[in-house]
Amino acid sequence: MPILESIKHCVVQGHIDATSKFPKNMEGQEGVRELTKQAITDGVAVEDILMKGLIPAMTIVGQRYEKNEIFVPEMLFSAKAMKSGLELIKPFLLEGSDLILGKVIIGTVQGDLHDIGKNLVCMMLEGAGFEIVDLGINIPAPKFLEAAKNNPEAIIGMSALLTVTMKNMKGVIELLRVNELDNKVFIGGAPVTPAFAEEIGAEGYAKNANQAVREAKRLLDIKA
Amino acid sequence: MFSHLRKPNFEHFQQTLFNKTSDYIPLIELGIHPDMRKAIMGKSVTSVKDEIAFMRSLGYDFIKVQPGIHLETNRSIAKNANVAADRSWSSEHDGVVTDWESFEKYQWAKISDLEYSRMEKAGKLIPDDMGIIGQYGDIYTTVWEMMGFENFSMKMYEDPELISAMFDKIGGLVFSMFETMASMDFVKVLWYSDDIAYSSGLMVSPDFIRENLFPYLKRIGELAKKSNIPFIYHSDGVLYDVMPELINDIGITSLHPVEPLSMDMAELKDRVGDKLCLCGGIDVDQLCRATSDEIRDLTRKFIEIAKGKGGWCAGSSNSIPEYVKPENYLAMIETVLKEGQW
Repeated sequence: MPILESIKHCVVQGHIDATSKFPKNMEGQEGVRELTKQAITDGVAVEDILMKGLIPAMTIVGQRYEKNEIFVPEMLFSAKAMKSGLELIKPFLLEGSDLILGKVIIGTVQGDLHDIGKNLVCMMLEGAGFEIVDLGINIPAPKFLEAAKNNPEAIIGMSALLTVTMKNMKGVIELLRVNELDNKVFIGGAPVTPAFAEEIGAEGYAKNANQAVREAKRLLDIKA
Repeated sequence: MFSHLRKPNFEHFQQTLFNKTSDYIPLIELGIHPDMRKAIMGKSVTSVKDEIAFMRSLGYDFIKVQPGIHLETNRSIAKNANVAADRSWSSEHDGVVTDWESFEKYQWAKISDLEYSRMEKAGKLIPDDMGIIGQYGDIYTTVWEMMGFENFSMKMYEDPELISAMFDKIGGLVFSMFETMASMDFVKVLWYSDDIAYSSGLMVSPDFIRENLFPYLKRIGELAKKSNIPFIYHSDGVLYDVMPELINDIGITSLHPVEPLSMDMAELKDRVGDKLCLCGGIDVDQLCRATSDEIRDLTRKFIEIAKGKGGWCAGSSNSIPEYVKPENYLAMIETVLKEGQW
């Protein structure tokens, strides 16, 4: 199998490196880490490793997750595998490279410490080629504002688990607009609906991590 | 409050949970926040006697009691300006048991630590027309909360023996609770709650759930069957992938809470309504944000689904937290009591 295909296969399977026990049938075999190192040594362009190996693999992972063919644990392995390759090629990717699709500021709103979903969204966005500014959990509106001021080109993703905490999303959007910042906002989380997104003036909504990638692309006008 | 509208009839409630013929819709709720109880009653509802009076006044046929136990997970507190109460959360990364060393060091609760005094008190005080639901759960949830979700996910594949040992520890304790509750003749319903799904699907693979959690549920189901009492299962999310096992192997009689973002009540009724009593379904989000008139209309839609057929216990699509509007909660109950009969 050509090396880029092998990298892609390992990311889809969630096989990080030779020491990784997942998946069982690949135990002891080279994983994304070794294969990426090999590809760099062989002189394969890092752009190709990213665009023909890592990113298309995570697209497949997202589709499999959406179809309930894999679940959160398997997706975490794939994300970790992708990250192990991404870390190796990052030093070679130039700042402002057009390989970076865009920037996404992301955080779980104040009062809410839930972040499995938020982290999956980060992983999928990163896997799709976005640069992430992960603010973390329990983020008050002024912190979103500060991040938006520092990254005017970024879109903003907000997550909440509860009806009571999702109300805080509205405050963030109001604060952004009062300060005349026009960063587009998309939201998600268990209680969040498209109707709620519309009601609070968010430009986008995503039901899951894979949809978040599609929504980020839509908001930044990037063709799939 | 509403005791003039309906007197409790626990036998009727039990029959509805068994999905047998009923001529009106009973009420059900997994949890009602202490602040909500206080807002409605004008005083704290703390003792078993208070609990009976509170549930009776709202039109419920039961009180729900849990054994006492404390299992340390790894929780943080979040403050939220929208509500008075702070909220605790489990860490999704770090746990208190992350490997064999921490497993061995952990001070595990023993079966002898389990405490049933409130339950026994309830058995003595419950009036003849009401009944007691014995409730516990969270074998799966406690395992991942104790391990942190990411670590739990990794260990599922990297150290399945550790995962298995965790399920043995927690499952053994929780099963012992149900064994004791089923042996108490005043416990007339068993209720196991454990979230295994999101609105888009199961959190982990159906095979993992079948291998690690369902053997315990099957044993709890056998206890209920032996005592000839209903067995309610609660999980958020979409459960279609494991519905056949829940019904045929585990033998649940009733399913709660039927979240509208996950499973449509009418569709679920069509698919499994001949086998299960469905419980809950009224959107907590709507109970928080809609008007009372909208809640009455929403409740009427659910009543129409069950009218003439039964097989539905009315309640929220999860529980009643402190941030639900009290007037909406009461509007839902009043509509069921006034219009949920035929």
